[in-house]
Amino acid sequence: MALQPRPPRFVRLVFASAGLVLLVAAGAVMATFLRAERAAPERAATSGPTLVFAEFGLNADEILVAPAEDPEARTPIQTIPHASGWGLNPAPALVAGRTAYTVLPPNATPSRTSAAELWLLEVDTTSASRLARDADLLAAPVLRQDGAVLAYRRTEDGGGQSLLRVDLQTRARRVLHTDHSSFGLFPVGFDEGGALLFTRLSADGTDLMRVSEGAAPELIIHASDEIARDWSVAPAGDAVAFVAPLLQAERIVHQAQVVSLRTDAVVATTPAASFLGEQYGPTWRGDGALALGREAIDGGGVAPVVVGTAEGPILPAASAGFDVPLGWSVGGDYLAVRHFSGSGSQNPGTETLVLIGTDSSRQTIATDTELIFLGWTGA
Amino acid sequence: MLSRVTSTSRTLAGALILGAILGAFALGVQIAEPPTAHACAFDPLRPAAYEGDALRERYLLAIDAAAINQLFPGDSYFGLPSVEAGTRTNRAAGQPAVPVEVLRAIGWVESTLTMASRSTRFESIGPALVSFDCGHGVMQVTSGMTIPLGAEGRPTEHQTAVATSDTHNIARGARILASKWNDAPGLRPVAGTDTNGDPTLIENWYYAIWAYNGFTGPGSRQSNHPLDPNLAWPRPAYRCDGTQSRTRYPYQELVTGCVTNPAQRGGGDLWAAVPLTLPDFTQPQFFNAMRLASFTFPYREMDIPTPQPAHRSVAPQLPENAQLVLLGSPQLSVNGSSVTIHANGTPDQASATIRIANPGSGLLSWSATPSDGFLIVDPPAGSAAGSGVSCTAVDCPNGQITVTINPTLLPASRASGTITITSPNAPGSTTIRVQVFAEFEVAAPGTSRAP
Repeated sequence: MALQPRPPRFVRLVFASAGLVLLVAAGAVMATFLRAERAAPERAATSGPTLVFAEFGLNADEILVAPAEDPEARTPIQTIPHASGWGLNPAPALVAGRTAYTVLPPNATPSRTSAAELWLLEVDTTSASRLARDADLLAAPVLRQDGAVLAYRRTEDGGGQSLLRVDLQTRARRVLHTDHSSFGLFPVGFDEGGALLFTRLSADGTDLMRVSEGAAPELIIHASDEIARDWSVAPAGDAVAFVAPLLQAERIVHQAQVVSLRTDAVVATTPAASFLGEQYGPTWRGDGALALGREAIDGGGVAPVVVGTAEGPILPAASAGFDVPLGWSVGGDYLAVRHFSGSGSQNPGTETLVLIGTDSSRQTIATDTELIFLGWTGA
Repeated sequence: MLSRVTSTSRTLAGALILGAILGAFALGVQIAEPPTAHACAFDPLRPAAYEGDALRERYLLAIDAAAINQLFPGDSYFGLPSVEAGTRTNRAAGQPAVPVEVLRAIGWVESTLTMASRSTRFESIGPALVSFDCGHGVMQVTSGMTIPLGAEGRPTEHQTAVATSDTHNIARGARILASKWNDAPGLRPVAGTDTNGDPTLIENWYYAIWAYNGFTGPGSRQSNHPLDPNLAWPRPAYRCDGTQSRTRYPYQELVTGCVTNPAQRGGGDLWAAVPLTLPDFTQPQFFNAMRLASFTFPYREMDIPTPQPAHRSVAPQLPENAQLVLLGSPQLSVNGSSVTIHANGTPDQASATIRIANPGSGLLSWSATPSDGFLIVDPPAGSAAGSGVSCTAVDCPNGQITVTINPTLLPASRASGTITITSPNAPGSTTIRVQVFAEFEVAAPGTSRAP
């Protein structure tokens, strides 16, 4: 076999230099990939409220933004791959342009028993970064009102559940509370002093608790002897709304209550008490008003009612069905709701994501698959 | 010139790979942690399995047969037990049958009715579907599959059958479902207090379906409690068409949703729809059953009447040749009686291949058991298709074992052992002699080069 001449030294130097440059570039690319950060093209800026939501896909969810005045003008900002069939589970609302969610990674066993990942999504930069790999999929994380801290839940190997606080600046994680004796812990949000609010389910019912770092948890109120749900913290962190079941005219209905976090007591006159029947999804507006969904008792469409202000807007109803509030836009001009074509919990019918405007508009977000509300950005 | 370019390219490629690794570490990358592994029956290897047709006709026929105990009647592991009827005070043994409608939907929710991994083509043989928590095959059978239960830490025949035989897997899933039903009233609540716990009413299987995935209470990570605050409320019926996230539903609603809204393939429904009724939690008799205070062993307070309108299961009509089609008469056939491995030879010489054929009919399950730890057989178990089983891929219809060695366990540079191939559903066994030549120095303590 004939020997081949080696290339001249300068040629080798050129190749070596090029290799070095490519080496660093490839390393950076790999580093970006392995850091589990995801970035997507930036979107066009809009001046008004912008809806942020996810479109469920069998193997990946797509996160989209859309201006409230034209929700069909959607821009995809991120794709979230996940275990087949199991979509992301987001925090109840966007805070300071960011949200968090739990999700089963694509290589996980597609089961609720698998450990989920916890991710932070920055809507403005469209980047997502992984914060933890030990989260409970079904327990949605919650963000503090300033968006600097979040809390999530994990199940310990030996049983029991822990609530963890994550500082989003330093990414430091701290266990705030571990409980081995209850049915479950559920992060609710943060109070105005920065303490984590959570509920604890036991055979005695639902307790609302608060816990701060380094302190023992304290009971705020025994909310119900049953399962209370749909917890929502007021924007100022001084009150919490929820629904709890009660017997009404031989039916079980859920009705809203409000707890003052300053007096740790149920507000004496719950504004929703005058509306009979099942109530859904109490959702605070920036000015302290509360939107409540109601079942369609009489067959016609029923819109959410807004209570807690002297002049609550009358929101337009669909011709049939009922609405479950999800979140107000920052300025309070739009309310995102889950609209159901049926009459109530037992007969909900089909579900769509609808934007209700205080200008009496109702806009349905058209889709072939389930939509997952993430929140609002913009004015 | 060609040689020069190639040489330079190799240099560059090497530099790139090295650079990528160095660059990644230089930037403080946190390498993804490997997932925590469970020990399953065949770990660390994975058995092979036959994947049926795209329209799931074979699996649906097997489900029909399993639901009425026509696959392995009388078998204490794969046959159906008597399914009890009655309430807490008058429970009595009944017919060995489970609602076929429920069994189909469970199969779909668990695996989209597939026996092998997603990388396996239809009508071919590939790696078996094994989940991270040791769920195996169509029915994702976990019970009895989490550790090897045979002698010397090897899988049993039952485990081989569950992992590699679709009919055994489905039959085992049906038996587990029946056992979940029979757990009431001693261990689980009764559904159907007003209909004498009639097992032919599909709505009465609410708790048995829940328990198939885990009878878990509210708040737990794997909660299937319908009023769990983590699950959306209200929620529309599960459509079973891949357009809704499972995150919002308890397991039993995924299954009942698939009974009501059949999965589709080939432009049509895979089974007939039955519009099941779920418990109405606005009614006290159902709501009270789901109270937190009620979720206490033995769950007596969780007994419920039958959700109305209820629907009676329709027993499937099996074709006359169902047993022949599904079970056939498999026969075990292995090529050759010995193989030779040269551990430090060419790649071809460093391993040996054993082919397993099924000159009979139906689907043969087999397992391969090496006599010594230095022999590695991969896959350790599998399937071989006989007549009547369509197998169209290149590697069909035979099973194939690759034999390699673990040199650290070799007793000497020349060694021999055997591999015994048996089948849980065919008579006989075959033993293959394996000769190993390893010319390198072995590292096992107390050994030396062969003379």
